[in-house]
Amino acid sequence: MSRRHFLGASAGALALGGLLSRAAAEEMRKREKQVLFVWLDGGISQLESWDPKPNTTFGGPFRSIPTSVPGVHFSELMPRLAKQMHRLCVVRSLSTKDNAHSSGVERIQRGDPKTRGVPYPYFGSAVAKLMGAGASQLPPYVWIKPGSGGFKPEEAGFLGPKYGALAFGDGQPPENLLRHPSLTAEEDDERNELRARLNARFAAHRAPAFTEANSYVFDTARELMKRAEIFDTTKLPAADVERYGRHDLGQHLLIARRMLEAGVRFVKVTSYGWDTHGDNFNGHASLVPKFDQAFSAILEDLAATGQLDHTLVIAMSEFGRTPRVNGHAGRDHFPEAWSLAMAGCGVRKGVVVGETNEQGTWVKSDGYDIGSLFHTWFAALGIDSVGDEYENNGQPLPIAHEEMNPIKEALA
Amino acid sequence: MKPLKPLSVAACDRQITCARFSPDGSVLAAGAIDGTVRRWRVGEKQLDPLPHLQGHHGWVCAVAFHPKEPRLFSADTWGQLRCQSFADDAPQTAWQLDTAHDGWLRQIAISPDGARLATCGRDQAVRVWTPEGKPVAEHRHTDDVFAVTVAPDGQHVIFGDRHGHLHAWDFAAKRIVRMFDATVLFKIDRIQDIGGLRALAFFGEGKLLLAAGTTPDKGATIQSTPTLLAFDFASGALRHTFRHGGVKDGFIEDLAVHPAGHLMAVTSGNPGEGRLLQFRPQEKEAFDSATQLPNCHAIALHPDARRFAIASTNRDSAGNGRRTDKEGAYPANSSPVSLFELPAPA
Amino acid sequence: MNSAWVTAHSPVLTKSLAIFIRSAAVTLAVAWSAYGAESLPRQIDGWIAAKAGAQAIAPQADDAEFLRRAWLDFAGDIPGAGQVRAFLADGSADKRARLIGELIDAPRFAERLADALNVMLMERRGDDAEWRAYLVESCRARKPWNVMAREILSPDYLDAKQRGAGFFTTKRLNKVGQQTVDYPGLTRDAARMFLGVDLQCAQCHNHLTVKGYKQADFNGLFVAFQNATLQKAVDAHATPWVSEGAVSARYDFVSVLTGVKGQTGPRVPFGEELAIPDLKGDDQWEVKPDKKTKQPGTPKFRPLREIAVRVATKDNPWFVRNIANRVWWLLMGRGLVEPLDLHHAANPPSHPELLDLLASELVAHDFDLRWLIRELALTQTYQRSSRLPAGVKPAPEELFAVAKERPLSAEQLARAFLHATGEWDRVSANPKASVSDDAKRYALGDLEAAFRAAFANAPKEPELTVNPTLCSALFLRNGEHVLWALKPRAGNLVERLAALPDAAQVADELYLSILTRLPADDERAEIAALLEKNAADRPRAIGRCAWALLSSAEFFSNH
Repeated sequence: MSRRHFLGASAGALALGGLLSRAAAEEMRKREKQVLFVWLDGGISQLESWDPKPNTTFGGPFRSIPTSVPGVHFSELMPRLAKQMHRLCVVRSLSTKDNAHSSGVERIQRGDPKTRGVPYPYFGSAVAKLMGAGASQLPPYVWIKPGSGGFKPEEAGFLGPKYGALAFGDGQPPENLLRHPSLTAEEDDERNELRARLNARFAAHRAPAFTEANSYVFDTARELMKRAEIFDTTKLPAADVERYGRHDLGQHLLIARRMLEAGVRFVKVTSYGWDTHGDNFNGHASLVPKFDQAFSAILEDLAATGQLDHTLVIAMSEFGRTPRVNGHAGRDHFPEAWSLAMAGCGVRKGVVVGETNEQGTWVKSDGYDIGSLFHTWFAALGIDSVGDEYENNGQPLPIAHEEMNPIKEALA
Repeated sequence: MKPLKPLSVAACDRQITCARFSPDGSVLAAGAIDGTVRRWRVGEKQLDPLPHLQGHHGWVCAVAFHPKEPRLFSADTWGQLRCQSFADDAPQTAWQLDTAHDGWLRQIAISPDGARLATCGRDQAVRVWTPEGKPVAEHRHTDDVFAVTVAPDGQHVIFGDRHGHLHAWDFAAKRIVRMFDATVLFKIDRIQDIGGLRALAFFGEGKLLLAAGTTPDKGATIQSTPTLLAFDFASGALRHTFRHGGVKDGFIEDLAVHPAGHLMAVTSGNPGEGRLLQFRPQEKEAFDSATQLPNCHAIALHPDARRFAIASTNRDSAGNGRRTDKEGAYPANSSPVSLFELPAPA
Repeated sequence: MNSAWVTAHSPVLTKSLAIFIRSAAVTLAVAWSAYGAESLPRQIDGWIAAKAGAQAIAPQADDAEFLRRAWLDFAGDIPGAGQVRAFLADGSADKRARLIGELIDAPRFAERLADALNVMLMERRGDDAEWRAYLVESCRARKPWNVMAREILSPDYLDAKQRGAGFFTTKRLNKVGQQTVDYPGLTRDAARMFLGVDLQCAQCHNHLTVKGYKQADFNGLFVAFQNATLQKAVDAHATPWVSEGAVSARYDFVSVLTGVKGQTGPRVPFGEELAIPDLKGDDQWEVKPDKKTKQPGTPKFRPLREIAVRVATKDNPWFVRNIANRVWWLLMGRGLVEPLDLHHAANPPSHPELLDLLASELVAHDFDLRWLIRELALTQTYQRSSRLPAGVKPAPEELFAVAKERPLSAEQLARAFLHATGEWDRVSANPKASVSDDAKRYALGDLEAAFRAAFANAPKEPELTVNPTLCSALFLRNGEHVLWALKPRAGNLVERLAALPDAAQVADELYLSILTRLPADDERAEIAALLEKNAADRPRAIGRCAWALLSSAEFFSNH
């Protein structure tokens, strides 16, 4: 039995923030590991992106192009990312179990561990718990997505709602984030100071847990309010907006970059609409170039500032798409052999992990389930995915599928 | 209206994107997604297979016959344009341009006198060629060009883009002379540009320009309604909008103009949905829509105007996961080609 | 034989036998004390004191603390400033007992208890008018808990008075997206809520850490629930309802860990298996299913109904102890058994004799929850202060030496907030929100919904502890609703206070109206200083003071 130890509650955030000097906090924040998780919801076709099979039975109409790594080709729909391959680690040997969206999305994002009868946390919630909010004191798990925003406690599973995602719907901050226009900053400060004094008196003769929790959320709210400019889309530099692309995915990745720069631990960006059961090829011809543009822009920017070294970057879907083309010129769901891409912190650069056969119908090498990826990501972040455990009501629970392991060839 | 029963159905082990009869009616040629051109000799009631034509890459997505000479033009999604004979067992390639377009060469159109070819593609270019493959003119557009046709006068090339903007281009004068607004055939859903244009054609002795395709409603798994727009060619005004069915009925994929003065179109919608539509653009309903075939992608009208062929898709073409057959292999979908005969006019 | 003997020999005795023996011993003790005429509240305090031993115990809560606590617990609300003053000024010795009596006997009590039961049983899965009406009416009628439990688990869906109870089951049988119907989840919740055992981990194998929870316990219950099908509200059925299928064979299961196979018919956990009658074919049906009319039919043998009867009875010690423990938790903030759904031999109550006593007394009083709540409210334990004695370290919670800070539900918060700010009457009288008219800006339903959105847990999360969230913090800081209530408006708190010339009076009214107490001297001075600083715009300054009190930890807990 390997050494096991429990992870305590609320890592780090409370203790660190108030004690470090500003400069030290800044330095610390610069070295802290972070995660960018790009979710292409619906299932991007691996054959029209990372693992093209041009001129084969199922290869589709597009050509492939060489990348910055000799011998590795991408679909012609990703010319910019082709130039970034030397930064990427592309796993072409994913093989998972679930071909349905509503269950598949959850299983992938929860790492599909062995059934324990409790809902496991999504990757973002797991990182929020295991690594905490960090020196920034901003919410540790932020989600930028089209549509509705707000608080998504359900992603935290058994960890509890504190580790849920804070969603910025349409890139907009959650309800009530900005100071109400009827208040001036001075008035807001005045009333909050009074509240803080009341709380201090109240806490003086009572068990601390409750008042600490109360203070924590108000403090996080305050930090978020102070950094409101991060998600003020009118403040995005025009040149960046052009470079990332004038569409949701571009805008949201740009906001994500700013969140990462501000020190948010885990940023998830979701793009919807990839489930091309019909007109897959025209569909991907429209979708993939936008992803190509925005994702390569953020990779370049993170690399330019040195942030990529301590940011784990992942781009994936819940499954791939069928090699077989259906009657409506579409591709259907295909978990049996698909791809994802990674870069950054702890990840080996410029490599392809595994391969599919000539037609893309089977994984030729060892197939990896999502549990192996969770192990790999934790390892890249410096977390012991085998030894560390959650503690849920006295029951120890592994943080990743206990029968799987990190993919060594993917790790730097 | 009772559905038509086919005279015969020819198997084709790969999906077909396009199909046309030769002007003498002896051969049916079809582009397949394995980079081959499929051919059949046309019998009275059946289609007899001829050897495949090799040499293309990706998908063969357009075939066109020269109106007078025994030449078949074909194009593929890697950008190759080729000319070859078609009637003999081992046809000769007359010429081949590997990069007639950079990538997906979507359509080929030929002027009625056969003097000029026009091609369009994803590289946003529209090009005019001689039948010998010599470049004549080029227009650089700003969007993926989905469809092209040549006006009856042979002087104007009409092209339409992903956004539904149609242009009439006088290629000798190098000018766009007119524009037509078919933007109902386009929609942005989330971040997906859904281009619904599939075919352009002339009708009514050149008076009407037709744009066929779909009105998109939702992206990803596209939900859209088959649509045909008829424009007054001289003025650019929209005269008629014809729609059939609902959002699961999909696209008009291909169109044939019947000399009797009506249109024959085939549709492909959600997997399993597809039909033949016979209609007049000014009417609200198709006068015949009973003949259903799953996911039709091409219709070819025989020069005798009596027989026609439809390339559809096999049943059960869709499905999640890796469905294997009894031997454990992963089979591809196919395109049965059905030969029909129009009922004699009453 | 006494409890010590029983406890010492527990590992040898089976758990149910141990409980039985202990219950028997306690019954004797109760009978003995009946002769001694010691009231139940005194006995309860006796057991608490006995275990606390040398631990320093908090004094009784002062009048203000007690008043607020009782109002929140029994009215789900806070008293107005005038009522606070009156209670504080009342010199009679029995005022606390009288207050308890008034609050518990008031019509509002039934609604408050119904709210608490709703949150406990449904865990924010959704609302339903018939369900709420069922709970309120049952509480109003003092329906015995065993009758309620039976009706909730297996109601007569054609009876207008019971069909609302079916929401517990029908809501949990709703399919979500492409996922299958969650029968295991329903089974688990039925056992948690009514028997105090979380058998979730015993579905696929015997529970790894709780020896007493076996696969047969989960699956015996699962057989009955799995056999139920959700039906639409149609024809005679005004609400969605549940039909039972015919069960003719025992259910096979296998342990995924050991491979050992097992079989069980329908069975109450830890109880006897129900015999499956030997009926075949059409004989199984009282009313045959009809494919044409889509009627599911009614079988002669109905496991779910049988199990409901055998769960909700005084003869089921798990059932009795569960409800006694939960009512204790409702008033004290911590169960005698913790977690509330983990009763088993290796997780004994903190006060075993006390739980036995409550259990047997509740049975003797026919599962009358209102009676038990009143008895608990009259204890010193309930009326203890939540403030630690100065210089004393926090005691282990299970000693109940200090009152515990308890969470306020979104429902309690909304009412308290509206009454504190003096906006209750206005929004209750407003039928519909109107954006253009400031006075009619919100109807009661809007504010209740906003408070639920800000303060209620996510669905399926039990609301057991105080749980401030970023959402709630931002709602308080910047939300429209809160700021609206704090603008001066005819008859509301801020306007009333703005008319008071004296800062000390303002401070008093503020604290009485919002925190249900008088301010200390330094608190008065604090308010006075802030008002003086902002003399130019007094009403807004008062609004800010009110805001600070309303967002304080003190307002947010039931302390």
